[in-house]
Amino acid sequence: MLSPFHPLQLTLGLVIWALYFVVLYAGLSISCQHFAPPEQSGAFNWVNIALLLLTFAVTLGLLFQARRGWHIIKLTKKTRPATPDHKQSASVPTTPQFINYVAVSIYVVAAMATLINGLPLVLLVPCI
Amino acid sequence: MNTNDPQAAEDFHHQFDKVWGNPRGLLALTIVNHTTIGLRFLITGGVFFLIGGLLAMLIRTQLALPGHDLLTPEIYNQVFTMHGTIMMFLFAVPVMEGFAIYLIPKMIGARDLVFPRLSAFGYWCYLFGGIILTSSLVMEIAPAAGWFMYTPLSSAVYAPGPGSDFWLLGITFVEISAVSAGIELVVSIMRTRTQGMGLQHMPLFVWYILAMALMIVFGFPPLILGSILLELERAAGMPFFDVARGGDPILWQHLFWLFGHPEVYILFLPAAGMISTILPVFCQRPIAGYRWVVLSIITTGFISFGLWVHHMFTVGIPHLAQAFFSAASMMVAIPTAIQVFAWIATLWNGRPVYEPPMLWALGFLFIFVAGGLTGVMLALVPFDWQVHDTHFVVAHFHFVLVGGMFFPLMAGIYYWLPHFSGRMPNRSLARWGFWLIFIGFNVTFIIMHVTGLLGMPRRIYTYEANLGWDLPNMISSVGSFIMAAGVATCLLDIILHFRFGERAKRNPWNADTLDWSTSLPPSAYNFATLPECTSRHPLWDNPDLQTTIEHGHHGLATIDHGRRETWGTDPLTGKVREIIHLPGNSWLPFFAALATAGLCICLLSKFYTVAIIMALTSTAFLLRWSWENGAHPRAAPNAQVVEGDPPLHSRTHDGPGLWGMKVTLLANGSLFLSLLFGWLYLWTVAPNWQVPDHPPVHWLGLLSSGGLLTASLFWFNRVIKRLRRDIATHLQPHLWGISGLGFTHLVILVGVWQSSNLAPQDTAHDAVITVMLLYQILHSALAVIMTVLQALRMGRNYVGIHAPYEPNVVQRWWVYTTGTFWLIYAVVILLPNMWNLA
Repeated sequence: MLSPFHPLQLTLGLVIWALYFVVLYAGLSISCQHFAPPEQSGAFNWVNIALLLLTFAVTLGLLFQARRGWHIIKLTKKTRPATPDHKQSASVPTTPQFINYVAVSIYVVAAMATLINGLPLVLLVPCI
Repeated sequence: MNTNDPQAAEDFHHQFDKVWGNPRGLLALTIVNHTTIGLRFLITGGVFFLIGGLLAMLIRTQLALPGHDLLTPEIYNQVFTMHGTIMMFLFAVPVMEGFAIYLIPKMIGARDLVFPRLSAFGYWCYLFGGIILTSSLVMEIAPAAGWFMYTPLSSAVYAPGPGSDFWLLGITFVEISAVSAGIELVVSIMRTRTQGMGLQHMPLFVWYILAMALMIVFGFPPLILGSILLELERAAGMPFFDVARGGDPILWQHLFWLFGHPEVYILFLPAAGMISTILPVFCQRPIAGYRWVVLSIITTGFISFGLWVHHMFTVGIPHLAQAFFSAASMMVAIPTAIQVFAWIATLWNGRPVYEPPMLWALGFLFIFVAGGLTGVMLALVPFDWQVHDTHFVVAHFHFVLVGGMFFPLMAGIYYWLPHFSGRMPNRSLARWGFWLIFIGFNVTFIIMHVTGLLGMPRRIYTYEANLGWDLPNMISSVGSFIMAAGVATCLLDIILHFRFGERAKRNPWNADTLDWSTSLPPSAYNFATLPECTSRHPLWDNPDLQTTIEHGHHGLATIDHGRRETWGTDPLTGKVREIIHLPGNSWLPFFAALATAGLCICLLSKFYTVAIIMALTSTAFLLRWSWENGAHPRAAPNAQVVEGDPPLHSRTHDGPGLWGMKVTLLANGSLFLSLLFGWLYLWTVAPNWQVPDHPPVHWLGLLSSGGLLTASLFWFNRVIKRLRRDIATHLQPHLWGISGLGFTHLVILVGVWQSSNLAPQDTAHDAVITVMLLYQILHSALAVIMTVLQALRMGRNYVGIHAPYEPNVVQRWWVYTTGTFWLIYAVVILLPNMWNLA
């Protein structure tokens, strides 16, 4: 598993969101073109359900990553003191700490973005 | 040197000037220094802004009264098309890049950008492309299909003149400049920050520019591809956007807005970076929530790529798909709001001083927030349907772009004016200029929302009286002239300050970032010695930094070797890894750009034979450019460094060129993925997509060609592994062998293409495959040429165990070329067969 201090963590959450978004849009477009469910089935049909399951899976995965990073923040806070910076600012973390802080926030943001993107699946008929 | 003696310090600077100084007269065309190039971008962008502004005045004069006949419909179409095109492509992006090119090395404690010749090449491409494009206006043959050039309006049937060609070729030319600047900025920020400047210490402006540059790298290639495809359709009859022959005009909209929406944030992010730099200085406190702002920058950079379809809500996309993009469009307001709250908190906790830059910053806050709110309104699909293509949209995007880009730009110009000239602006004229523009802008565009809600469409050259549009249009026109008076006042202030402005003292605004530790105006090398920086506020922590830098108390203080040098540091921690040596002034960027301009003009004039000669000439200049690198006598033949200093980058396995290649391949990959998207999109959606019964390309020939390519790659990888173990036995024969194998692959590939049954003018299917094959042929040919050059350089002793760097760079190209080959094979040969089987 990728180290929580790896610089890729700064963007990985949103990269996963971007891939999810592509799959969401492409999956819907291809399904509607070739295997469109009947209009009468409303929002409860195999396309919406499949994409909703994907949405929940990606959201949970992202939240899991955020939790993992958060756990490390708590551990490192106990063991590693931050270096003092300008007198008016509180402190500046070390590079790995900084990466981990931002990465955790990115995972949370990506999880929220995934969930919000997927919400219309609960309400709207897919192919009209 | 490490002394406090002023005379010794002066001598020291004379030595630096000999190596870094800029020539005058005709030789000024050879300058590659980032300070000069950045200023050239700014001044040229300013001139284009004035041209675009004059066009805006023509539009407002025409629309001031109903039934006005100042402009004919044909000329009006050209005027609004060129107004948008000039403002977006020739003013907004280049000026923001100019600021970044000028400021980034100074903010990160470097002496120059990492590829100075690329900076110069980018500038000349921008200048020549801009001149070619605007010349069409003078000849009254300018593009007239709107700044987004929708097909089929821009296609040969409905736009038979050369106007669309000017747009497609001119903009592609200018985009070379944008992408080259993007690549250079990414690598410079990642690899040349001064000692100790970890990611967590980077000034926020640098974070913003890093995000902007990466967005350019990913966002511009889809439009470059779209422009190439549309020009191929117009010039060679390849029907990518022609429904009858299996194309689809909506593909153009996708490719355009895949670029076009991120473009808004490409402009906004550097502007927000200026605000995040200026507010803390005039509040004399660090910005509130540094990490929150970094988070919002990264988030904006990503989410802004998920909004493009909100420009296409009326083209008939399923409701559910529209809802995905509607949700993403509303979400992007959240990271923007985080930044707004960080700015408000900074103001709240500081003691703001209302100097001219602050006026513009506060004006930005007011206008941009209003524009953002109408953006959220437009993200709602039903509302968008009501106001689509009305003046409401025009008012909205002017609030966003003028508020989100022009106001911060003016704040930045006033803030860094002492940097450019060594003098302070006139506060009185500056205030007049601000208020005239602020009032004029709001008078023009607030009422325009109403005009749009009353139903007035965009892009109409006149309107009938008594539709309720007369008064609001008149008010907008009056407001626009007030705004123009404000621009003239600011211009006057800026021009006059060079002569009459009070001399700026050191760090006149008491700023915290390293850019204010240079002399004013700065020398060509920025810093005589490179300071260590382990703080977000180096000048607040150490106000004497400029003195100690000038007196040689910091790193890289030696210049008698005659090389231009800066630190090469770890991208995360800022720990010094190597010394990066930079090229000096050169004619090559100018002549390469000139030949490319010739190519562009020949394509416009349809002199295709001369165009081929121009393309070869340009390539020759670029190859010569690549030759003068590394251990070449004009680069760094002598690798000696001061004891204790790290080695020169060209004597290691890592360096800026390797990073430059990786980032270039990201941009290239974005273009290639856009092409794959086009293929899959047409296959899925185009109503008349025609798939032949038999594959038009011989699968076995293609497979054998790919086998040879893959063998070449494995061979190259083996050479690199040996080089890393300091084994260079028979390196040159190996490189010749790889070139030969690669050349055989290339010959077979060309043979497969020539013997295929492709009819690219008959179907979009065959046209896309043709473009894919040509793309692959170009890449394979470049791989062979680069390897041949390495073999030749090995013979001259420019490459070897002592300088093992360059083959590492070329290897990445081989990896990429092999990857694209197999992807093309998969989508052209395997996927259709699997689909048919299913």
